[in-house]
Amino acid sequence: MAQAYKWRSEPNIIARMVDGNEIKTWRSRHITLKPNEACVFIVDGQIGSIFSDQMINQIGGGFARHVASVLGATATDRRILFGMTGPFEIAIPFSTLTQKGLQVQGHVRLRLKLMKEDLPKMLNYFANHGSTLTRINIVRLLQEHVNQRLIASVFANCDRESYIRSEPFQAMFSMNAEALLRHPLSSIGLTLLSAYAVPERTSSEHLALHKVKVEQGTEHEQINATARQKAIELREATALRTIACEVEVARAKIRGDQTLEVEKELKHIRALEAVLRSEDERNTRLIAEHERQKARRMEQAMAMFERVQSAKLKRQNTI
Amino acid sequence: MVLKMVGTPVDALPYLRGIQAVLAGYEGYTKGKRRAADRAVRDEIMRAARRTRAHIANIHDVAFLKSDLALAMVAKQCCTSIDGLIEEVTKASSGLPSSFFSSQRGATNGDLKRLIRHDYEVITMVTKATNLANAAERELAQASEGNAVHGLVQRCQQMVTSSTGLFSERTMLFDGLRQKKRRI
Repeated sequence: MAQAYKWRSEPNIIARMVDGNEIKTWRSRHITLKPNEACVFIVDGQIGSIFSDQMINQIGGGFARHVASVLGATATDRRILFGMTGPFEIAIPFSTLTQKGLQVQGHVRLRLKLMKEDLPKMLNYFANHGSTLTRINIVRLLQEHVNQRLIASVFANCDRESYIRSEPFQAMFSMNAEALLRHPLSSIGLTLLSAYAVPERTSSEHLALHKVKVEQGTEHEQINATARQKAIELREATALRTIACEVEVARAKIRGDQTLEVEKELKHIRALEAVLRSEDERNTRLIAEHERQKARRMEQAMAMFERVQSAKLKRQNTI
Repeated sequence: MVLKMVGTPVDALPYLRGIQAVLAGYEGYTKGKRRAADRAVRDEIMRAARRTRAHIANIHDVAFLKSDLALAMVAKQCCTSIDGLIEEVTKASSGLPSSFFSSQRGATNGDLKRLIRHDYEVITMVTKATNLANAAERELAQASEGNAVHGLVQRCQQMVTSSTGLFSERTMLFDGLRQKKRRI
């Protein structure tokens, strides 16, 4: 059964030169190259086709090559160069001085890419170095060049500190990097996509930052004090208002109690008045009744008198 | 070569010949060589893009050394656009190999004609971009006015951007092959 061959064991590996004899086996070994992977065969010193985005069967040769090597009928030197063709980033640290002697530290970010067609150029690297090219190897390879040719010249032209943080500085840096790094990178098959500097805070920036922090702290305290004062004033006003309200309530209560007493007295007076009025009415009615009875008795007496008189007159007439 | 196709797309022949003028091994999407044709087209586009990039990079370097920063920045932007095109082409979908049991429908003559025509148009457009970049570098070498070079580089960038957009239509063509038509 065919075994899959893996040329990359960690993400930092960008390219690797593999000796074909190391993977030579009588068993079939295949490799699937993704669109961002490429490989080129170098057989007996000759560069072959570049493969990418496909599966390569029998990368080690398999049984046929095993037999051929036993018979001495195959290439003696067989190397396979693998590479990652996707863009990747590296960070190169730097420490330099500006025109005015200000020390600047930081790192340069380089976005690089290995073009598929440039993969054989990696041989220039592997001719003088180990069989694996990682990001760290690229950083080590470029560090001195970047520091001496690029960083030193760019920062030496910085006449003021604020320029370091400006867009023209980054544009100038990028263009310098393009112009100065293209050829060294091209010699090992890499293409520079973009470059920018990431300077750390300078001493005066630290000072400015400290100043701003102190000022902000003071302002912060002032704002807090103002807020606390306002809170105290608010509490004071609330307390005073509460007291005033309580006094008002007490007064109102007192006024209310007095009113109640007066009302009670008034009610009592009105009741007394009503009693007196009723007594008065009763007396009036009694007097009126008495007068009516008196008048009635008078009328009865008068009527009796008239009857007596008429009887008397009648008797006299009869006599 | 053309007879190997499912049917002879006669109206695609001019485009086929056009592509063959720059890409000798191109046979159209003949059966059994479709992936190879796809790769050949993409390689050709990338090759043209790399040529364009090399010209523009030279312009960038010369402009920067002459302190013509405006031209250098335009050239840098153009390089970024070309990098985008290369990345787009490298990582583009090339469709999936259809099988009897898959839900993909097979490529018809119409699809193949559209693909061939599309390949022709993209390659032509990228070649135009290369010509523009070449012309810009020549103008710069002849010490022409900065504006002329500037304009040529910007036109080149525009052509590269258009090529990127046009190339992305290819994905739509492949998307059309992804599903079988439903039978009602």
